[in-house]
Amino acid sequence: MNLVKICFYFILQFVLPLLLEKLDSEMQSSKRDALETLTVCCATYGANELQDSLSDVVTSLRREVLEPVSEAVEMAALDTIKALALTLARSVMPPGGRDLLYMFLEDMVAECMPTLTTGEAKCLLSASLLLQAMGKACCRACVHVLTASVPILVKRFNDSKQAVERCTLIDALRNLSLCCQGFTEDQEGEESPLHHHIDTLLELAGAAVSDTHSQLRQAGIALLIALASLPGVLSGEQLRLAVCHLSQLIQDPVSQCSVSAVDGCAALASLHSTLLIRHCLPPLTAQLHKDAECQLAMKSLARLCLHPDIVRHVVPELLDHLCTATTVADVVVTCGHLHDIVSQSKQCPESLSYLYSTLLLRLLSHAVHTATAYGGDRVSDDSDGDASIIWHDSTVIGAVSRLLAAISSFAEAKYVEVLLPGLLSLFLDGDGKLLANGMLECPFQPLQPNSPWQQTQLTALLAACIGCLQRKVAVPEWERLLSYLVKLTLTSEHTPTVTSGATCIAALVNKEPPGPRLDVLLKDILKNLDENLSVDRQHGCRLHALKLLLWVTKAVVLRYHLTAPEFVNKLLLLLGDTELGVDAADGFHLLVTESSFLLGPAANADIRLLYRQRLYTEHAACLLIGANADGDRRSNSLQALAHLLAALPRQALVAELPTLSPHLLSWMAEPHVAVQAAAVALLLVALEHSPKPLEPQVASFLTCLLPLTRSPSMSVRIAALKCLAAITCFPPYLLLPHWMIVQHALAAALDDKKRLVRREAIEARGRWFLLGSPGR
Amino acid sequence: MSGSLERLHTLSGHTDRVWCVCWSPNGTLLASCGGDKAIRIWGQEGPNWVCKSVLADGHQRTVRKVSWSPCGNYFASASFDATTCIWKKTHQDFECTATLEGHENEIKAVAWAPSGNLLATCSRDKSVWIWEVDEEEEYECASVLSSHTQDVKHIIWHPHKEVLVSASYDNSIKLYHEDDDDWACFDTLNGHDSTVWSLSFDGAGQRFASCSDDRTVRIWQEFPQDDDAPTKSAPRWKCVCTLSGYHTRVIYDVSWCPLTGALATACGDDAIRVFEEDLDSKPDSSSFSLSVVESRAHTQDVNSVAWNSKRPGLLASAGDDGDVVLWQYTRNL
Amino acid sequence: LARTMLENASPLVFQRAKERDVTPEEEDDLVSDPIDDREVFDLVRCINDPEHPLTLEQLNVVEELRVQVNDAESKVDVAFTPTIPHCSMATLIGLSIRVKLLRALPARFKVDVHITPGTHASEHAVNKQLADKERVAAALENSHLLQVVNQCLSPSC
Repeated sequence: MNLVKICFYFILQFVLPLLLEKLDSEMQSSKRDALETLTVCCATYGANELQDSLSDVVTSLRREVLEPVSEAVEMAALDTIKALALTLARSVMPPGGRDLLYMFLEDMVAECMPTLTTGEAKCLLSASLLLQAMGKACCRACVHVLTASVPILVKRFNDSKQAVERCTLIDALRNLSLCCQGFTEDQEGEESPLHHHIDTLLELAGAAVSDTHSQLRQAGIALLIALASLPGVLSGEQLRLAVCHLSQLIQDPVSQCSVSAVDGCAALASLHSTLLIRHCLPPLTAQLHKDAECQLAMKSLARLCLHPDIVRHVVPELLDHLCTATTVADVVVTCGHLHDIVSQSKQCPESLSYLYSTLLLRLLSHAVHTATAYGGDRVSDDSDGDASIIWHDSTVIGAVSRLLAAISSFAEAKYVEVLLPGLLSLFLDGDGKLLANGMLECPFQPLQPNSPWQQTQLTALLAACIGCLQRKVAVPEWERLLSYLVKLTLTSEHTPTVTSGATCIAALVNKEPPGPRLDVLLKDILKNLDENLSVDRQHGCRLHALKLLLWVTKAVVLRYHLTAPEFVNKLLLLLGDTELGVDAADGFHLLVTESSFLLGPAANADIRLLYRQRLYTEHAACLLIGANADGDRRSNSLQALAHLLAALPRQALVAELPTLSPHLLSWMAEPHVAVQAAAVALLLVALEHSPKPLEPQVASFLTCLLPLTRSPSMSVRIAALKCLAAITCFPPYLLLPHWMIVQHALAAALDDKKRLVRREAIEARGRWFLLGSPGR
Repeated sequence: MSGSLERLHTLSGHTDRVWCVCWSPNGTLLASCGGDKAIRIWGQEGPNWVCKSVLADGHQRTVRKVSWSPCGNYFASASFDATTCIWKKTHQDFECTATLEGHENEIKAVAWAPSGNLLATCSRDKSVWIWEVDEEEEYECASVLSSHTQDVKHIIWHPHKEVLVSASYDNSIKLYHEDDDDWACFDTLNGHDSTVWSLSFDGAGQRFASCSDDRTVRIWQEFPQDDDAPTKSAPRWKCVCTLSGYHTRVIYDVSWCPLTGALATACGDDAIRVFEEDLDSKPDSSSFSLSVVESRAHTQDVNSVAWNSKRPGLLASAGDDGDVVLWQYTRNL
Repeated sequence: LARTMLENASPLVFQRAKERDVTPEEEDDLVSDPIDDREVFDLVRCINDPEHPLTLEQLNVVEELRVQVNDAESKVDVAFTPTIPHCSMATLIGLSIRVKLLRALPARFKVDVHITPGTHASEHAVNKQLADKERVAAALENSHLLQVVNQCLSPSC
């Protein structure tokens, strides 16, 4: 539309006055529209066409920036100013004609001058943005703006005694400095427009960062970073000074300052990695050895890892710290920081390949070393005995596996394929040639059910290394590996080992392309499960088999494999099992929740869209029949159904309302929290979507809902209160008879120990107060 | 501390705050009223106290106070709906026999004179009205007293004489009597720094207590007028004692037991306090000591306290929590 | 059109505070979250001004630092600052704050609502009215007043 309006010059003379009039309107949207059209006008027409209306346009624009009605309008006006300045800069000055750009700049600068000298904080920032917008247009404008404004602001800064005002002045100076962003490249030996001001600005920033006022220090940090990130503006020595300042500020006692300093250094990481390595890293790595400062130092180091060279410097330090840590908590925290480094590096192949080849191998080596050092009957006599024992802790193994999984999921196939054969011979045959020192002191047989648990639990690490890989990567020795894993899972007595084995199998099943190899495996698993789940087996054995069934079911359900219904039906049968029914019902939660680790989207799993709806559609009928049965089957089926419903998106729930609404009341009265939660969630959808059919039962719903506001489960309380708020959409005459009893229950909920529950109680109570009351 | 307060019964039934409790003259019935626009009559059945009647259709808005007639066959209720209802005892229940209209807005209190022939009401409209009752149970306005400059919060009659006392949002207390066939204010007592919420005479009528938003209770005593003093305006009532430093929020009510002389207060800090006059108290400047404080008497503000006039130490209280509570006060020797 | 009727036609508009972040402790069923200054400030900041289409927070009538909460002692103290010293809406604003807290806080709390000292010509009179619960109760039974209060309290932000 905008373009059509202005495509002919002769229209312009009519359009401009219209636009100016529109700009004067009170409506924000009209203002914005006018400004956007003006921006297009400026870009389309030359200075000559615009010059007649120039002074009117300038007056309006100035007003919109200096007295903004809203941020959006201010932004739009700034865009227009920039476009206008650009057009004027490009215009060819006729001999003896007026220099339009110069006039425009002079005019605007003169207008801003009083604000710059004495204006209040908000105006000062607006003026600095206006000047910045003009300065961005071209190098000449930039020089003009900076020459006119920087000395004034610097003087005002030096004269001012108020810290808050000085902060604003620094922010304004930073805005101005940024206007030379496009003109700093020192290609033709030209000086940057900032050249003449840089010494003053650095001096000022230096004064700010050493001030006692923490907000001023923060403003100074921001200015330093802005200057340092403009290429070619600071000399080598100036840069070094700036980075030194920043690295000292990382130690600032005020956490906001230290965080801004770290963030600032991180912003400079890709431009000035060498400087950071030389000046920022040494003090931080030194702190790793001091207990009190270690946590913060690790966090800062991890944050700086945005360049491969920095990663190479930091990771070995953190690894050393990790391998010598003496508490579980320390290991977990360090793994967390390494995890952050891995996540930050996912766009950087160079860092990733380093992390895969070094970090992954070092972690594996250490884990295998500590597991075998304890191996069987040999008791470790190492001096670092304590540090080794920690690595037997399941929490540590969990943290390390998540870290390994993150590295593997990002790693490029070409690096993985080099490492995989060695990895598999390590786990399958105990061949240690992959590891750092190449030799294993003791036999390592983690996949043998009769190995010590310290070894078998390392299945978790194997699962992390191969379960998260990209799907195109082929795992060597697939069949042998799986047959080992199935045997281990079904016969091991160590529960964490069983879980790792089951998840590893599931991850491989999920990613294996269709074909006879997969069919044979699944058939074999089904046969094994039948044997191990049979009622004459021991409880522990059946429980482990159920675990495998759940994970493999999840793997096939996620990818819509043909055998999925067969696996799910096996699970449904178990809902009536006296021993396993409850666990089988809980298992439905596993099926529908997104895994954060293996079989999750981050682990490159094969997850089809709408798999939850499909699982529900195919099996809800069976579960509903179970829900109307007696005894264990009834409660377990309800629980399973509740888990499926909890995972369904709103739209799908709406579609199910007619089938499910009749059961709502009886489900709300069930003792199981999961069933109550699902019922209340469903009721909420019904109330918000189609309340009319529920109206006749209002008394019953209220009777069921009020006790749930005292449920031990916070989520049930919240959902029940949300229903009590939503039910106020019913006609008041239906609700007013219950007003007193509902308000009584809601008044009690106002004193709930949980803030999130109180919030809902307040909302519901507020709505009930307005029922049938004036001013609703 | 020398006394104890034992919680006997908690009477639940009101669905909103209870503003006022009032014992019938023979001490067998307790009337309560509140924000639920209802009046409840409680009585003893065996060891238990039960609600004998709920009178919910007399008023359109909050029922602020209730007051029994001296004969015990009637009681009056004052409401925010600007009316006063007169209720007559029938066989088992009460029926509304008259509705007194006239005040511009919320009526804050009603009180029956000891003779039973006069009734006083007061309102946010700053006025106090005196009504005469004739033999046909017709009520006629005898006087409208507009001495206060702000809401009149409470009124009480002298236990024996036709003297009326009022307490107001204007921080003052005023006394009225009939003079030359017309009612007039004859004394104004200043002293409280904020709203005076309630008043209570002692058994003899020589003194009364007032309680206030300024967190103090004051005791006022009548001094016989000097025969030589010709001016009528000379004050006859003086403050002889101020109880300050005991209460941490507004004191909403005070009750002086005609049987035992104990003074109970109802406070916005959820507590009931009982004070006793010191034995060495001088006639012209009394002194009182705190006997007992029940700090969690109600779970919210306590609005009203009332001593039973026949059974020594039996105290009723009412609060924002919607409960009416009966207490037994005992002096420890 | 109504602009000319307003006492303070163009008030200064202040930034709203960010929504409170939900912490892991708040999501933990077992941890108790005490009622704190911010929670009570969150209750009153969204109240609509009776004459401007703005909230009390946007007009700086209520500020977090003027809300004091002691959960253990069940005490809340809220001071509010009328936009101009002669604002005739001060009582209504105070009443809205009081009613909001009456509806949203557990009954055990003793709530004091008053004008920031020195910011209103009739500070004492307004404070006295707001502290008088009998007048507040009566006001809420007045349907005209209740309508205005409900409009101030109805969710708009």
